[in-house]
Amino acid sequence: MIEIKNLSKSFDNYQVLKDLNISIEEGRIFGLVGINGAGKSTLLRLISGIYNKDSGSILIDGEEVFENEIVKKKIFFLPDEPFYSSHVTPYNLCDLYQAFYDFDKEEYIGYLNDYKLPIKKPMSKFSKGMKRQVFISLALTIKPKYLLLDEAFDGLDPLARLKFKKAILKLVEKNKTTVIISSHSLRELEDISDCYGLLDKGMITSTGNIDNRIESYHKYQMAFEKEIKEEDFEIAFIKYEQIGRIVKVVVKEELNEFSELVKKYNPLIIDEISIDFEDLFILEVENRGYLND
Amino acid sequence: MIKLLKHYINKRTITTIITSIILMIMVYINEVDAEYIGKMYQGDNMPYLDTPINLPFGNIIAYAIILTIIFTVFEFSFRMKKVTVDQMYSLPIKRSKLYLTKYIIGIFEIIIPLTLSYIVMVLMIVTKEHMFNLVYAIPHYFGVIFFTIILYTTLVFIFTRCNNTVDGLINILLYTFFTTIIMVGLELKNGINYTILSPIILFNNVMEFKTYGFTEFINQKDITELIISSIYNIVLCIIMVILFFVFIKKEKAEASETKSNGVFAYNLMIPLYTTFLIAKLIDNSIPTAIIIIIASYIGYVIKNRSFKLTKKDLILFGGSIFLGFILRLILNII
Repeated sequence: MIEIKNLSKSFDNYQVLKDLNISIEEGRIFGLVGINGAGKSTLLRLISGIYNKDSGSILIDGEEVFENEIVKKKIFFLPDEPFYSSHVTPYNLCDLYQAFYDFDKEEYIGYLNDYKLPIKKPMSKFSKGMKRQVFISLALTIKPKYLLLDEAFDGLDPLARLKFKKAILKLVEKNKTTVIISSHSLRELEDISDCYGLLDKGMITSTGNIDNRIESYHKYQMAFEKEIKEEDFEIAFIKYEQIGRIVKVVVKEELNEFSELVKKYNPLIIDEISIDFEDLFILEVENRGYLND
Repeated sequence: MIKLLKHYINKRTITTIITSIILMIMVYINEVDAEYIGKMYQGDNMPYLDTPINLPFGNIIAYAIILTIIFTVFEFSFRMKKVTVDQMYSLPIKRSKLYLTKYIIGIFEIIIPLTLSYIVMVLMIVTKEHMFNLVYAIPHYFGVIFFTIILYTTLVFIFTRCNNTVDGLINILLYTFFTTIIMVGLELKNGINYTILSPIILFNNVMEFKTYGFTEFINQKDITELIISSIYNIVLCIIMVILFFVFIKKEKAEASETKSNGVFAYNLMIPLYTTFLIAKLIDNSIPTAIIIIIASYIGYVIKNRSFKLTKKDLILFGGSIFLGFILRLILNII
């Protein structure tokens, strides 16, 4: 289990994380979301023991992570820009990791072959997606108890994304691995994450089960006989969009309740539209004052 | 840590073999036509004996210095790139162990080529007519290795106080040549030659130790100079090792690729150069003083990658100039 209490981190005078609190239970796939510069990568580097905190605590299985060899052995971190150099190939990259982890080289080669990667070519000649696939293969071979993935889907083609998601789900199912994934590909995150945390202004401002959270919002599309503006309604919408006589709104009310509320405005039709994780994210960040024109 | 050490030994074997081959070829090229006997020449008034005997040993020392700089950068530049910092610091190993492993590997990478090329050099001398007492080659060899390790330790400390490779290299050069260049001429009236404090000059003492043999060395050279020089550099080395591990514990991984604002980088070297240049090396002309002050300012520009100086820089800049003139005044009075 990962428990983060009152975590703060600053770079010079710029505070990136401020009294951040969160718990992530074992075997969860946690989607870490936030706008650019929210501190997602910093948080992952703190959890993986690369950065040291200014204050607070990061406990993994009850122990502090920084400079803790035993705890760090349970973690594998894949940063947004994976390591490469001109003399490192996927084949010899694993030599370093073999010094620290129980490692089955054949299994690793198998994963590399699955991704159709040239195993003896210098990684400096690889695309970002290919480098990422090499490290995903490493992670799958190491089978860490905690897998931290920064910008997980960045550079991966749709087929590689699909393979990657399947592999993550398999890893979690087999090994009870706890996965934290930061990504801007929210649709991909929604596919595999069972819980999420929204990082904003250095804090986790919204967290929980993705499905439950999505179910707490309702999106309706309505058509009216004539154009109608937001201020004409005596209803507080969470989100309001209007194109001519068509209005799309997001509210917390169920369909029956909402139909009663809008009855007096005589809508021609009311349809409920599904909300996805991306909609949820946009709603959350809009509620925090972003994206307001 | 042992597993990591083994990993690096395997990984660096090829590098070490290639370095050794290159160095041995260089030694061979340098020594193949060299003569190791004295020749009589006719001078203006009397004949004189020219003995070019120090040359091969001097070359070895030059190689030692070059290898030390190369492998300091090679082993420790990982901390100056974000991608390698992410990789290395996320591994389940304490930083002190990681740095110690890198430090040990660096020593191997320097000593093995140096030893092999030393053997080649001695073999080439043996096969020719020479004037050397080669019994002293053994203590000379160990002397070179010992002081190479001292220099390496010093450079590792200086290099790792910087946050990017360029700053690391600049500060290595600034430090290495500070005691050698700046202190040349800075001999107080009590006759102490401060150049003996330089790790580079230290090599020179070791070199002469070989050339003349121990008994003759004592007669020809002030042995106290070697003792002072050795003790100073060894103590400095120990302090640096201690500080090195203290700083590692406090190190901020996020500082990688940023400007080097640490105490032991530019913030120490620029004021040192400024103060000592003003104190000793300038003549009484104002243009020379202005040139030194401008050079000092350029140092801060290089440090900040900006023409704008911070408040801290201004204090150091002004303070070091002021201190330089005060020191100059004191030196003139003594």
